[in-house]
Amino acid sequence: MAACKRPESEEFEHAFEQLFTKYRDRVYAIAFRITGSAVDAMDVVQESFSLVFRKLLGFRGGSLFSTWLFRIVVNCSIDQRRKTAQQPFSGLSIADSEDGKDDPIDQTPSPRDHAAARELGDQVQQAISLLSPKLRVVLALRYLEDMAYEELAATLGLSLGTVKSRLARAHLALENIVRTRFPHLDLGAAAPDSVGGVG
Amino acid sequence: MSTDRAPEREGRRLTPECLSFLRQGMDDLAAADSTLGEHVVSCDFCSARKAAKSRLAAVMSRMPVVPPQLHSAAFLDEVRARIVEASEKSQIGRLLDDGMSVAVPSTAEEAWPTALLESDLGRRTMAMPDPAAGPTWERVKASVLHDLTSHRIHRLHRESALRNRGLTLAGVAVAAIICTWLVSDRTQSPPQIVIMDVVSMPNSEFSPMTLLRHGEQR
Repeated sequence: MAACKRPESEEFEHAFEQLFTKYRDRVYAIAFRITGSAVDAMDVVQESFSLVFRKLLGFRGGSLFSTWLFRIVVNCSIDQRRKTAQQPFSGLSIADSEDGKDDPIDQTPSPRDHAAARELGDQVQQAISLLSPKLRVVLALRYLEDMAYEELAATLGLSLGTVKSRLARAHLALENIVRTRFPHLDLGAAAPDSVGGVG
Repeated sequence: MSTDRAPEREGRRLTPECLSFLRQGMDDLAAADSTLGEHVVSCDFCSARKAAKSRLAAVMSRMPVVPPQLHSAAFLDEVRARIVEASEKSQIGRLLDDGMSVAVPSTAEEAWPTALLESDLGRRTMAMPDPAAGPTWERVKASVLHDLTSHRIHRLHRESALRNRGLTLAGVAVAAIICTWLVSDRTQSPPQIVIMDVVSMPNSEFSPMTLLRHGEQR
Protein backbone atom coordinates (compact mmCIF):
# COMPACT_ATOMS: atom_id res chain seq x y z
CA MET A 1 0.00 0.00 0.00
CA ALA A 2 2.99 2.30 0.41
CA ALA A 3 3.29 2.63 -3.37
CA CYS A 4 -0.29 3.87 -3.48
CA LYS A 5 0.75 7.09 -1.78
CA ARG A 6 2.66 8.40 -4.78
CA PRO A 7 0.42 8.67 -7.82
CA GLU A 8 3.19 10.11 -9.99
CA SER A 9 5.20 6.89 -9.76
CA GLU A 10 4.86 3.84 -11.97
CA GLU A 11 4.51 1.72 -8.83
CA PHE A 12 1.22 3.40 -8.14
CA GLU A 13 -0.17 2.03 -11.38
CA HIS A 14 1.20 -1.45 -10.66
CA ALA A 15 -0.28 -1.41 -7.18
CA PHE A 16 -3.63 -0.38 -8.60
CA GLU A 17 -3.49 -3.17 -11.16
CA GLN A 18 -2.76 -5.68 -8.43
CA LEU A 19 -5.71 -4.47 -6.39
CA PHE A 20 -7.91 -4.61 -9.46
CA THR A 21 -6.86 -8.15 -10.34
CA LYS A 22 -7.28 -9.34 -6.78
CA TYR A 23 -10.71 -7.90 -6.11
CA ARG A 24 -12.49 -7.59 -9.48
CA ASP A 25 -14.40 -10.89 -9.23
CA ARG A 26 -15.67 -10.21 -5.73
CA VAL A 27 -16.60 -6.67 -6.66
CA TYR A 28 -18.50 -7.98 -9.66
CA ALA A 29 -20.31 -10.57 -7.53
CA ILE A 30 -21.51 -7.97 -5.03
CA ALA A 31 -22.52 -5.59 -7.78
CA PHE A 32 -24.36 -8.33 -9.65
CA ARG A 33 -26.29 -9.41 -6.57
CA ILE A 34 -27.38 -5.86 -5.85
CA THR A 35 -28.15 -4.68 -9.36
CA GLY A 36 -29.37 -8.01 -10.71
CA SER A 37 -27.90 -7.25 -14.13
CA ALA A 38 -24.57 -8.28 -15.66
CA VAL A 39 -24.37 -5.06 -17.67
CA ASP A 40 -25.06 -2.89 -14.64
CA ALA A 41 -22.62 -4.92 -12.57
CA MET A 42 -19.84 -4.35 -15.08
CA ASP A 43 -20.62 -0.65 -14.96
CA VAL A 44 -20.46 -0.73 -11.18
CA VAL A 45 -17.06 -2.47 -11.31
CA GLN A 46 -15.72 0.31 -13.51
CA GLU A 47 -17.18 3.04 -11.38
CA SER A 48 -16.04 1.46 -8.12
CA PHE A 49 -12.43 1.04 -9.23
CA SER A 50 -12.46 4.52 -10.69
CA LEU A 51 -13.46 5.84 -7.28
CA VAL A 52 -10.92 3.63 -5.53
CA PHE A 53 -8.18 4.99 -7.75
CA ARG A 54 -9.10 8.58 -7.02
CA LYS A 55 -9.67 8.09 -3.29
CA LEU A 56 -6.78 5.76 -2.61
CA LEU A 57 -4.60 8.63 -1.40
CA GLY A 58 -7.20 9.40 1.23
CA PHE A 59 -7.39 5.83 2.53
CA ARG A 60 -5.66 5.97 5.90
CA GLY A 61 -5.98 2.31 6.77
CA GLY A 62 -8.52 2.95 9.51
CA SER A 63 -10.36 -0.14 8.32
CA LEU A 64 -9.51 -3.15 6.21
CA PHE A 65 -8.97 -2.25 2.59
CA SER A 66 -11.59 -4.81 1.54
CA THR A 67 -14.15 -3.31 3.93
CA TRP A 68 -13.49 0.14 2.50
CA LEU A 69 -13.68 -1.18 -1.07
CA PHE A 70 -16.93 -3.11 -0.54
CA ARG A 71 -18.59 -0.06 0.97
CA ILE A 72 -17.76 1.78 -2.20
CA VAL A 73 -19.13 -1.09 -4.29
CA VAL A 74 -22.38 -1.24 -2.33
CA ASN A 75 -22.92 2.50 -2.66
CA CYS A 76 -22.15 2.43 -6.38
CA SER A 77 -24.51 -0.49 -6.87
CA ILE A 78 -27.33 1.30 -5.09
CA ASP A 79 -26.69 4.37 -7.23
CA GLN A 80 -26.75 2.22 -10.34
CA ARG A 81 -30.06 0.68 -9.34
CA ARG A 82 -31.54 4.11 -8.82
CA LYS A 83 -30.34 5.25 -12.22
CA THR A 84 -31.75 2.19 -13.93
CA ALA A 85 -35.05 2.49 -12.11
CA GLN A 86 -35.52 6.11 -13.16
CA GLN A 87 -37.40 6.76 -16.35
CA PRO A 88 -35.10 8.23 -18.97
CA PHE A 89 -35.86 11.90 -19.06
CA SER A 90 -34.40 14.07 -21.76
CA GLY A 91 -36.08 17.32 -20.76
CA LEU A 92 -34.00 20.41 -20.29
CA SER A 93 -33.30 21.86 -16.93
CA ILE A 94 -34.57 25.30 -16.09
CA ALA A 95 -31.18 26.81 -16.72
CA ASP A 96 -30.85 25.07 -20.08
CA SER A 97 -34.34 25.90 -21.25
CA GLU A 98 -33.75 29.59 -20.85
CA ASP A 99 -30.89 29.26 -23.29
CA GLY A 100 -29.18 32.28 -21.73
CA LYS A 101 -30.72 34.60 -24.32
CA ASP A 102 -32.70 36.70 -21.89
CA ASP A 103 -30.03 36.71 -19.28
CA PRO A 104 -29.85 40.31 -18.05
CA ILE A 105 -26.40 39.81 -16.53
CA ASP A 106 -23.51 40.91 -18.71
CA GLN A 107 -21.35 37.84 -19.32
CA THR A 108 -18.42 39.81 -20.78
CA PRO A 109 -15.34 39.20 -18.63
CA SER A 110 -14.20 42.30 -16.78
CA PRO A 111 -10.54 43.37 -16.39
CA ARG A 112 -10.67 41.86 -12.92
CA ASP A 113 -11.83 38.57 -14.45
CA HIS A 114 -8.93 38.74 -16.88
CA ALA A 115 -6.45 39.36 -14.07
CA ALA A 116 -7.90 36.57 -11.97
CA ALA A 117 -7.79 34.20 -14.92
CA ARG A 118 -4.17 35.11 -15.60
CA GLU A 119 -3.27 34.50 -11.97
CA LEU A 120 -5.07 31.18 -12.05
CA GLY A 121 -3.16 30.24 -15.19
CA ASP A 122 0.14 31.05 -13.48
CA GLN A 123 -0.72 28.92 -10.50
CA VAL A 124 -1.89 26.02 -12.64
CA GLN A 125 1.36 26.28 -14.55
CA GLN A 126 3.33 26.22 -11.31
CA ALA A 127 1.43 23.15 -10.15
CA ILE A 128 1.97 21.37 -13.48
CA SER A 129 5.68 22.17 -13.38
CA LEU A 130 5.93 20.08 -10.21
CA LEU A 131 4.83 16.97 -12.11
CA SER A 132 7.30 14.68 -13.81
CA PRO A 133 7.92 15.50 -17.50
CA LYS A 134 6.07 12.36 -18.63
CA LEU A 135 2.89 13.34 -16.83
CA ARG A 136 3.25 17.01 -17.78
CA VAL A 137 3.46 16.19 -21.48
CA VAL A 138 0.38 14.03 -21.51
CA LEU A 139 -1.68 16.66 -19.67
CA ALA A 140 -0.50 19.48 -21.90
CA LEU A 141 -1.34 17.63 -25.10
CA ARG A 142 -4.69 16.55 -23.76
CA TYR A 143 -5.81 20.00 -22.63
CA LEU A 144 -4.03 22.32 -25.04
CA GLU A 145 -4.34 20.26 -28.20
CA ASP A 146 -7.51 18.48 -27.13
CA MET A 147 -6.00 15.20 -28.34
CA ALA A 148 -7.95 11.96 -28.17
CA TYR A 149 -6.36 8.91 -26.55
CA GLU A 150 -5.48 7.47 -29.96
CA GLU A 151 -3.76 10.70 -31.04
CA LEU A 152 -1.84 10.84 -27.78
CA ALA A 153 -0.73 7.24 -28.23
CA ALA A 154 0.44 7.93 -31.78
CA THR A 155 2.16 11.20 -30.85
CA LEU A 156 3.99 9.82 -27.83
CA GLY A 157 4.61 6.35 -29.25
CA LEU A 158 2.81 4.66 -26.37
CA SER A 159 0.12 2.03 -26.07
CA LEU A 160 -3.44 3.13 -25.48
CA GLY A 161 -3.39 1.64 -22.01
CA THR A 162 -0.24 3.50 -21.03
CA VAL A 163 -1.72 6.78 -22.25
CA LYS A 164 -4.83 6.26 -20.17
CA SER A 165 -2.93 5.21 -17.08
CA ARG A 166 -0.59 8.21 -17.39
CA LEU A 167 -3.47 10.59 -17.80
CA ALA A 168 -5.19 9.08 -14.80
CA ARG A 169 -2.05 9.35 -12.68
CA ALA A 170 -1.35 12.86 -13.92
CA HIS A 171 -4.77 14.08 -12.80
CA LEU A 172 -4.43 12.42 -9.44
CA ALA A 173 -0.89 13.70 -8.87
CA LEU A 174 -1.91 17.21 -9.87
CA GLU A 175 -4.91 17.10 -7.57
CA ASN A 176 -2.59 16.03 -4.79
CA ILE A 177 -0.20 18.91 -5.51
CA VAL A 178 -2.99 21.46 -5.65
CA ARG A 179 -4.46 20.24 -2.38
CA THR A 180 -1.15 20.39 -0.55
CA ARG A 181 0.57 23.40 -2.13
CA PHE A 182 -2.23 25.52 -3.52
CA PRO A 183 -5.03 24.96 -1.01
CA HIS A 184 -6.65 28.29 -1.92
CA LEU A 185 -7.52 26.85 -5.32
CA ASP A 186 -10.64 25.25 -3.92
CA LEU A 187 -11.11 21.71 -5.17
CA GLY A 188 -14.08 21.01 -2.95
CA ALA A 189 -14.03 19.13 0.32
CA ALA A 190 -11.82 16.07 0.33
CA ALA A 191 -13.26 12.99 1.90
CA PRO A 192 -10.30 10.90 2.99
CA ASP A 193 -11.10 7.44 4.15
CA SER A 194 -14.76 8.13 3.61
CA VAL A 195 -17.16 7.10 0.92
CA GLY A 196 -20.07 9.10 2.19
CA GLY A 197 -20.36 11.00 -1.04
CA VAL A 198 -20.62 7.92 -3.17
CA GLY A 199 -24.07 6.69 -2.32
CA MET B 1 -42.71 3.07 18.15
CA SER B 2 -45.84 4.75 16.92
CA THR B 3 -47.68 2.77 14.27
CA ASP B 4 -48.21 5.98 12.28
CA ARG B 5 -44.48 6.22 11.66
CA ALA B 6 -43.96 2.50 10.99
CA PRO B 7 -42.58 1.75 7.50
CA GLU B 8 -44.72 0.05 4.92
CA ARG B 9 -43.87 -2.99 2.82
CA GLU B 10 -46.15 -4.38 0.10
CA GLY B 11 -49.02 -2.17 1.21
CA ARG B 12 -49.02 -3.11 4.87
CA ARG B 13 -47.51 -1.47 7.90
CA LEU B 14 -44.68 -3.31 9.58
CA THR B 15 -45.05 -3.91 13.26
CA PRO B 16 -42.10 -3.58 15.65
CA GLU B 17 -41.96 -7.41 15.71
CA CYS B 18 -41.69 -7.51 11.89
CA LEU B 19 -38.81 -5.03 12.00
CA SER B 20 -37.14 -6.97 14.76
CA PHE B 21 -37.41 -10.14 12.68
CA LEU B 22 -35.94 -8.41 9.61
CA ARG B 23 -33.06 -7.06 11.62
CA GLN B 24 -32.14 -10.05 13.77
CA GLY B 25 -34.28 -13.11 13.17
CA MET B 26 -33.49 -13.45 9.49
CA ASP B 27 -29.96 -14.48 10.33
CA ASP B 28 -30.62 -16.77 13.27
CA LEU B 29 -34.18 -17.16 14.46
CA ALA B 30 -33.25 -19.79 17.01
CA ALA B 31 -30.98 -17.38 18.83
CA ALA B 32 -33.58 -14.63 18.83
CA ASP B 33 -36.26 -14.00 21.45
CA SER B 34 -38.85 -16.83 21.66
CA THR B 35 -41.70 -14.35 21.14
CA LEU B 36 -40.18 -13.52 17.76
CA GLY B 37 -40.61 -17.17 16.70
CA GLU B 38 -44.29 -17.02 17.62
CA HIS B 39 -44.67 -13.79 15.65
CA VAL B 40 -43.15 -15.32 12.51
CA VAL B 41 -45.60 -18.19 12.60
CA SER B 42 -48.57 -15.83 12.95
CA CYS B 43 -47.39 -13.10 10.52
CA ASP B 44 -47.82 -13.75 6.79
CA PHE B 45 -45.24 -11.16 5.81
CA CYS B 46 -42.52 -12.55 8.07
CA SER B 47 -43.23 -16.20 7.31
CA ALA B 48 -43.01 -15.41 3.58
CA ARG B 49 -39.66 -13.77 4.16
CA LYS B 50 -38.42 -16.73 6.15
CA ALA B 51 -39.43 -19.14 3.37
CA ALA B 52 -37.80 -16.91 0.72
CA LYS B 53 -34.59 -16.80 2.65
CA SER B 54 -34.31 -20.59 2.82
CA ARG B 55 -34.91 -20.77 -0.95
CA LEU B 56 -32.60 -17.93 -1.95
CA ALA B 57 -29.76 -18.29 0.53
CA ALA B 58 -28.07 -21.04 -1.46
CA VAL B 59 -28.45 -19.16 -4.73
CA MET B 60 -27.25 -15.88 -3.29
CA SER B 61 -24.18 -17.38 -1.68
CA ARG B 62 -23.10 -18.94 -4.98
CA MET B 63 -20.58 -16.91 -6.96
CA PRO B 64 -22.16 -15.57 -10.13
CA VAL B 65 -20.56 -16.40 -13.46
CA VAL B 66 -18.05 -13.68 -14.19
CA PRO B 67 -18.11 -12.39 -17.77
CA PRO B 68 -14.80 -13.06 -19.57
CA GLN B 69 -14.55 -9.36 -20.49
CA LEU B 70 -13.88 -8.64 -16.83
CA HIS B 71 -10.52 -10.41 -17.17
CA SER B 72 -9.50 -8.77 -20.42
CA ALA B 73 -6.90 -6.01 -20.70
CA ALA B 74 -9.46 -3.91 -22.54
CA PHE B 75 -11.66 -3.82 -19.47
CA LEU B 76 -8.86 -2.39 -17.35
CA ASP B 77 -8.36 0.20 -20.09
CA GLU B 78 -12.01 1.11 -19.81
CA VAL B 79 -11.57 1.55 -16.08
CA ARG B 80 -8.65 3.87 -16.72
CA ALA B 81 -10.61 5.82 -19.30
CA ARG B 82 -13.37 6.18 -16.76
CA ILE B 83 -10.89 7.48 -14.20
CA VAL B 84 -9.67 10.08 -16.68
CA GLU B 85 -13.22 11.00 -17.64
CA ALA B 86 -14.18 11.45 -13.99
CA SER B 87 -11.05 13.51 -13.33
CA GLU B 88 -11.70 15.74 -16.31
CA LYS B 89 -15.23 16.39 -15.13
CA SER B 90 -14.06 17.10 -11.58
CA GLN B 91 -12.74 20.35 -10.13
CA ILE B 92 -9.18 19.55 -11.18
CA GLY B 93 -10.32 19.14 -14.78
CA ARG B 94 -12.13 22.47 -14.71
CA LEU B 95 -9.09 24.08 -13.13
CA LEU B 96 -6.92 22.75 -15.96
CA ASP B 97 -9.40 23.88 -18.58
CA ASP B 98 -9.46 27.41 -17.18
CA GLY B 99 -5.76 27.61 -16.37
CA MET B 100 -4.55 26.18 -19.66
CA SER B 101 -6.75 28.43 -21.76
CA VAL B 102 -5.16 31.45 -20.12
CA ALA B 103 -1.64 30.16 -20.67
CA VAL B 104 -1.97 30.02 -24.44
CA PRO B 105 -4.42 32.40 -26.10
CA SER B 106 -5.97 30.81 -29.16
CA THR B 107 -5.54 33.95 -31.28
CA ALA B 108 -3.13 36.85 -31.24
CA GLU B 109 -5.97 39.36 -30.71
CA GLU B 110 -6.79 37.80 -27.38
CA ALA B 111 -3.31 38.57 -26.12
CA TRP B 112 -3.94 42.32 -26.50
CA PRO B 113 -5.89 44.27 -23.96
CA THR B 114 -8.84 45.05 -26.19
CA ALA B 115 -10.43 47.33 -23.63
CA LEU B 116 -7.37 49.57 -23.61
CA LEU B 117 -7.11 49.70 -27.41
CA GLU B 118 -10.74 50.71 -27.64
CA SER B 119 -10.34 53.46 -25.06
CA ASP B 120 -10.07 57.17 -25.94
CA LEU B 121 -6.33 57.10 -25.28
CA GLY B 122 -5.89 54.08 -27.52
CA ARG B 123 -7.84 55.69 -30.37
CA ARG B 124 -5.82 58.92 -30.15
CA THR B 125 -2.55 57.01 -30.07
CA MET B 126 -3.37 54.99 -33.15
CA ALA B 127 -5.00 57.88 -35.10
CA MET B 128 -3.27 59.25 -38.26
CA PRO B 129 -1.92 62.87 -38.05
CA ASP B 130 -4.39 65.57 -39.04
CA PRO B 131 -3.45 67.03 -42.51
CA ALA B 132 -4.54 70.46 -41.25
CA ALA B 133 -1.68 70.40 -38.78
CA GLY B 134 0.91 70.89 -41.65
CA PRO B 135 2.24 74.35 -40.64
CA THR B 136 2.78 73.11 -37.16
CA TRP B 137 4.93 70.31 -38.48
CA GLU B 138 6.91 72.80 -40.58
CA ARG B 139 7.69 74.80 -37.46
CA VAL B 140 8.77 71.69 -35.69
CA LYS B 141 11.01 70.73 -38.61
CA ALA B 142 12.61 74.21 -38.71
CA SER B 143 13.22 74.11 -35.02
CA VAL B 144 14.87 70.73 -35.24
CA LEU B 145 17.09 71.87 -38.13
CA HIS B 146 18.06 75.00 -36.23
CA ASP B 147 19.00 72.95 -33.24
CA LEU B 148 21.07 70.62 -35.36
CA THR B 149 22.89 73.52 -37.10
CA SER B 150 23.67 75.42 -33.92
CA HIS B 151 24.90 72.28 -32.42
CA ARG B 152 27.31 71.78 -35.35
CA ILE B 153 28.73 75.34 -35.06
CA HIS B 154 29.18 74.94 -31.39
CA ARG B 155 31.05 71.73 -32.02
CA LEU B 156 33.41 73.42 -34.55
CA HIS B 157 34.18 76.20 -32.05
CA ARG B 158 34.93 73.70 -29.43
CA GLU B 159 37.25 71.71 -31.69
CA SER B 160 39.17 74.92 -32.66
CA ALA B 161 39.61 75.93 -29.05
CA LEU B 162 40.92 72.51 -28.25
CA ARG B 163 43.46 72.70 -31.07
CA ASN B 164 44.73 76.16 -29.90
CA ARG B 165 45.01 74.98 -26.38
CA GLY B 166 47.12 72.05 -27.59
CA LEU B 167 49.57 74.32 -29.42
CA THR B 168 49.94 76.62 -26.38
CA LEU B 169 50.63 73.65 -24.15
CA ALA B 170 53.29 72.38 -26.60
CA GLY B 171 55.04 75.82 -26.63
CA VAL B 172 55.04 76.01 -22.87
CA ALA B 173 56.52 72.54 -22.70
CA VAL B 174 59.37 73.46 -25.13
CA ALA B 175 60.15 76.65 -23.19
CA ALA B 176 60.26 74.70 -19.97
CA ILE B 177 62.72 72.24 -21.46
CA ILE B 178 65.05 75.01 -22.70
CA CYS B 179 64.98 76.77 -19.36
CA THR B 180 65.75 73.59 -17.59
CA TRP B 181 68.69 72.97 -19.87
CA LEU B 182 70.05 76.46 -19.35
CA VAL B 183 69.73 76.29 -15.61
CA SER B 184 71.33 72.92 -15.48
CA ASP B 185 74.35 74.27 -17.59
CA ARG B 186 75.04 77.08 -15.09
CA THR B 187 75.01 74.89 -12.16
CA GLN B 188 77.83 72.73 -13.48
CA SER B 189 80.68 72.22 -11.00
CA PRO B 190 83.43 74.93 -11.34
CA PRO B 191 86.54 74.02 -13.37
CA GLN B 192 89.32 72.44 -11.38
CA ILE B 193 92.56 74.47 -11.33
CA VAL B 194 95.66 72.35 -11.41
CA ILE B 195 98.94 74.03 -10.59
CA MET B 196 101.77 72.43 -12.44
CA ASP B 197 105.45 72.93 -12.86
CA VAL B 198 105.90 75.23 -15.84
CA VAL B 199 109.32 73.75 -16.61
CA SER B 200 107.73 71.00 -18.35
CA MET B 201 105.72 72.29 -21.08
CA PRO B 202 102.18 71.14 -21.02
CA ASN B 203 101.17 69.13 -23.87
CA SER B 204 98.76 71.68 -25.14
CA GLU B 205 99.54 73.66 -28.21
CA PHE B 206 96.61 75.93 -28.28
CA SER B 207 96.22 76.86 -24.71
CA PRO B 208 96.25 80.70 -24.28
CA MET B 209 98.38 80.37 -21.12
CA THR B 210 101.02 78.47 -23.09
CA LEU B 211 101.21 81.24 -25.64
CA LEU B 212 101.59 83.82 -22.87
CA ARG B 213 104.39 81.95 -21.08
CA HIS B 214 106.31 80.34 -23.85
CA GLY B 215 105.33 82.13 -26.90
CA GLU B 216 104.13 80.47 -29.93
CA GLN B 217 105.60 77.06 -30.33
CA ARG B 218 107.75 76.66 -33.31
